[in-house]
Amino acid sequence: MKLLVNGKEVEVQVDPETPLLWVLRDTLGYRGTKFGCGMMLCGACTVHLDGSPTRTCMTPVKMAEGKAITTIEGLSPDGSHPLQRAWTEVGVPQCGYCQSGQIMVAAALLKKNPNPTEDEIRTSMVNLCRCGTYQRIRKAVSRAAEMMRGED
Amino acid sequence: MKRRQFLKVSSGGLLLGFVLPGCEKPLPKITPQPISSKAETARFNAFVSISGEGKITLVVPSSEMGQGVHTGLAQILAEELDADWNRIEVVMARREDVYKHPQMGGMLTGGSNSVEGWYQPLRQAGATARAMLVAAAAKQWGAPVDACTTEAGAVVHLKKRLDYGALATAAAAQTPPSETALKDPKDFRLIGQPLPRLEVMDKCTGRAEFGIDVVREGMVYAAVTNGPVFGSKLAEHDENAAKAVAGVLAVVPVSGGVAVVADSYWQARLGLRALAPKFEAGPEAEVSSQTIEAQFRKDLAKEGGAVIKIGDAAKAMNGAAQKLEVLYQAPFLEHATMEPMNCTAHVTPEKTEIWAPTQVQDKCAAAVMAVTGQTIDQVVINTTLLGGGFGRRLEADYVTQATEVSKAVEKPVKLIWSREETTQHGFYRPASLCRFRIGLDKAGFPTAWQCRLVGPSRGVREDGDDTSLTRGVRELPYEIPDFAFDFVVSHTPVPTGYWRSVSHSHTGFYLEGVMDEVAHAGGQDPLELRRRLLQKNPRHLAVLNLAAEKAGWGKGQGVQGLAVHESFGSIVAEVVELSLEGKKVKVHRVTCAVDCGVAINPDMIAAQFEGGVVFGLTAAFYGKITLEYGAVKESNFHDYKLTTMRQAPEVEVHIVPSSEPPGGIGEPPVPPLAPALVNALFRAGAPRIRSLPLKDHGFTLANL
Repeated sequence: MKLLVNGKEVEVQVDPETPLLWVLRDTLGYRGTKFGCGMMLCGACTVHLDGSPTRTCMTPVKMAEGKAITTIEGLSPDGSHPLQRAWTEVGVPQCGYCQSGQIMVAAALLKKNPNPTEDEIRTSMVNLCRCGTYQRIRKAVSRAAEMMRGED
Repeated sequence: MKRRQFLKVSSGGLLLGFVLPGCEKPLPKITPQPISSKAETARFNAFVSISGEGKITLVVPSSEMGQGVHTGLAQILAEELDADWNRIEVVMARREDVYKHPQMGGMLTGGSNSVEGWYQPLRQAGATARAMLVAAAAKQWGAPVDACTTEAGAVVHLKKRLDYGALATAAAAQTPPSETALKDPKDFRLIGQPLPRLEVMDKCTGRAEFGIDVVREGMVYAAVTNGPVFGSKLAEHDENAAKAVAGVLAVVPVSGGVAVVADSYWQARLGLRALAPKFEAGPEAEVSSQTIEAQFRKDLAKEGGAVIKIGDAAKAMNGAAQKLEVLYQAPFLEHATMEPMNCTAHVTPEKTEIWAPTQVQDKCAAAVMAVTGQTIDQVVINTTLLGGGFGRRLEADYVTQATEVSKAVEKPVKLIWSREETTQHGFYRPASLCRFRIGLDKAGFPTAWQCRLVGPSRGVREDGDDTSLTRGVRELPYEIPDFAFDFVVSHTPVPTGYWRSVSHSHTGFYLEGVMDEVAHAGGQDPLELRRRLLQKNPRHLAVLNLAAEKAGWGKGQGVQGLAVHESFGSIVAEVVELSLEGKKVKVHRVTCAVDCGVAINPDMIAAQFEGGVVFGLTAAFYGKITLEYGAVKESNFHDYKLTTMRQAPEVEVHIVPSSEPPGGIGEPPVPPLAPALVNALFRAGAPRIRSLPLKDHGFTLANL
């Protein structure tokens, strides 16, 4: 089947029921998206399907056909996305394992809502973080929003 | 426009408005690889190498699991080396004897003691390399060594300057001096600064490599089912059905369970499902949370070991004006690292190489040697980044399994456990029971104190002590004239291990919970009582007072509870502020104060508190591993919950300025949280809570 990943069209030979997560990681080598729970409870496996944040650990790859898949690797070529810069500035990651998913959720939020309130950030950032970086995630999302609005 | 970083950390006002060096420049990258043996890189010692271009490779002997140790240890090395921070690269050490932790007898990362143990040795290593560079420059210039100095990556004499890169080969060839003077701390320019985490950008771009991300040529994948009941053995399984699944290559029994090997992880999972393994259980299948609790309660009548006697507590109890007898308890807990257990192993007849997100390189090597029969020189242990450790990765069970599978299939194998396997086959924080009998005098102060702790042990010392159960309640910071403690070992088949803050995770709750009970019984303010009893412990007093002051204790701030606890060389006080509506608890703010001696990186310290508080909140509200028919009931994040973004409070961190030797920071934030929380709940009108988790008492952690 043909998939469109980070702007590139790729051909994969996999069982169409294979979760997209494992196609991205094992077949295509995009290992920035992580396996946390396998039951869509934690969000470490979040990518964008046509811009919508999607948990891929239980999404069969066939459902991604014909959609634009964006992984953390596709957010920017060099870490220059405002979220990645804000994340770095605030010092968000600790172990870092959940952060790809967190950033993908934040990217979708800011696309829809360029000026989220703290409450809106709290409500949208639904992914789990075992290290407890939530406080800094909140700050970094606000900071990235500032950057994106040009309020630098 | 320069970016200013405002931190919510105060330590004498030093850090507000600090401009982070190198913020606009690309950050140095961490690549967890062995040191290159290129001819142009000069090796000064096991920790410092410098290339001809002046790139400085710092080898760190501790595992990075989010606690910031790669950055912190690099700061220490780079400080004494006087390196240019923008030109350093950090690599994780391979398992080698030279990287054994100075106090722990092996190469491992745990006990929050990487900085504590490595502080002086790494200062020495950096200073020695610097001395060699200076000597080489002096020789080249024909100048006296005393007239040369260093400036962030170069040796300087009058107007002459030589970059470390230019000097590296000549410098490293010298005999290292046997003793080198270290910097005066007042001259530190890196230690004490909130430098950004070195691998931060990799963690924001998906480039960071965790154990689960390792790929080797010709690698295959293994999925594992472990016997559900502890100690159970593999019985029926349908090998043909497993092998009929596309991509499946082999079925391999492993220690504790069975693995299916395939050309991708998902196919291995499908193979495991088709295998449908069944296990035969022994008497462990009779064990449940209820039988364990009943056993602990029964064992409360026994006399234990690890005895401490100060004065005559029994006599003093008889004469007490008021007596308190209470029972505290805490459940088994699983670590819930976000990255599940995994290991990649490649066994060949000549050698075995493993890649793992491990905290315990020596134990991994021993596991590999046990499976393969190879010697230590044939075993290579590579450590990746860890997606959380918390003490779970101080075990090598999955390393044994990966090695067994690789040996069987004669290929590199990446073995991955599911979340369910990870939750149900942990090395749990032990459950325990703690009885206090406390006598108060007429003025309401505690004068007699008897404490008995009951719990399982992996191995007691000669005196009957197991510090991973008893530390934190066996010796009190409080002045109590008549004190008695003992510990009764009560075995269970549940594997136990080291969960973030180990014994303090339960003893902190027990001690600081009962202290508030004592205060209440004696008509004292919880802060005032502690102040009175901590007179001989000025560092505890200072931390307690700082937290109380910053939290606005007693100033009508809101409903607050406090706790103070020392663990792993640091003293922490926390004030939890909450509101209670029925059984719904909103935790608004947690104010923390810490004395951790020399603070290497205040931003990392603050982060460990922010995270440690959330970790403690999860344990306090939800943390419970239930045993049913000898197996763990909980399996994933729906029934082993974690605190969410919506529930997480604001955490404020205040560091006491200190020049004492550095203490730990990864674990100390955890113990005071639960007691401060239940103390606040009591203040809010809830009943006194002596067992966790709070959900068992009907409380919910509400969204803010």
